Amino acid sequence: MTFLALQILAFWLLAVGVLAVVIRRSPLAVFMGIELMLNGAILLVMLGVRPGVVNAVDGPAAVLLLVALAAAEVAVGLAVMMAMFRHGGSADLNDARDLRG
Amino acid sequence: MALKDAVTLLAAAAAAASALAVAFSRDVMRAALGLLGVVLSLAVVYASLGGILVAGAQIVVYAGGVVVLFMFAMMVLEYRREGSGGRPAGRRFRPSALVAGLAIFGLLFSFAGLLEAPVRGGEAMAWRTTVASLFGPWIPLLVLAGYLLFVSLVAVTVLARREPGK
Repeated sequence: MTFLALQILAFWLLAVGVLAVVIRRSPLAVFMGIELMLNGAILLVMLGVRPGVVNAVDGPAAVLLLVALAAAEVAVGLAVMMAMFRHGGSADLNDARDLRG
Repeated sequence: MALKDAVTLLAAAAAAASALAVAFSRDVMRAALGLLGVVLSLAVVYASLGGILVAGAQIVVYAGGVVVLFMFAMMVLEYRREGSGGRPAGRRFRPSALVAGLAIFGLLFSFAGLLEAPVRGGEAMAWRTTVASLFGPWIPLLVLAGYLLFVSLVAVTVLARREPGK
C-alpha cells in the first residue's frame, strides 16, 4: 500500500508541477513547478530501485545526478531571469516576448 | 500498520499538500516555503526507503541550495505579495512552518535509526557503497576541493563588498 501511495505521490507531483508551469505567470513560480516535476521523477527513480530493475548502487547515483542537474538548471534559469530584470526592469513572463528573434 | 509506513504516508501527505501550496499560492514566498515542505517531506520518504545518501543530498542541495537561491532571487527582484490579504507574516507562513517542522521531526526520526532501511527484494541501498562507487579513491580530494570552494566563496563575498580604491 505504501509503495502504491508513493507512486501516486510521484504522479501527483508531476501533475501539480505541470499545472504550476501552465497557470502561473511569475517565472519564479514556473521554476518551482519545474522543480516539482523533477522531484516527482526522482521519486519514481527511487521507487524503481530493486534487483532486476535498477541496481541499489546505480539508482541512488542516478538520483544524485538528477539532483545536481536540477540545481544547475535552477541556477541558470534564475540567472536568465535576473538578466531579464536588469534588461527590461521586469521579470514577468509576458514581457519575455522580447526574446523572440 | 507499522510505524515506518505511518511516517512514510504522513510525509507523503505533507508533500502532496505542500505541492498544492506551490502551485496555487499567490504569494511567491509562501510558494517557496511550500517547495521547502515538499523537499523535506520527500527527504523523509527517501530515508524511509533506505536512501539515506539521497535524503542527505536532497536536504543539502534542495533545501540548502535551491530554495535559498529562490529566496535570494526574490530579495533581488523585490517580489511583493499578490493579494494575500495583509495578514501578519507569522500567520501567513504558519502552515508551511508546520509542514517543515513535521518533516524535520520525521527526518530526525529516520536518522535516529528508528526506521530501519528497508531491504526491498534483498538489496539494501548502502550509502557507503554508493559513495565509494561514485568517487572511488578521490573522496579526500573532493572534500579538499569543497573546503577550497567554501573559502573562495567567503573571499569573493569579502572582495565584492570592498569599495573600489580601498
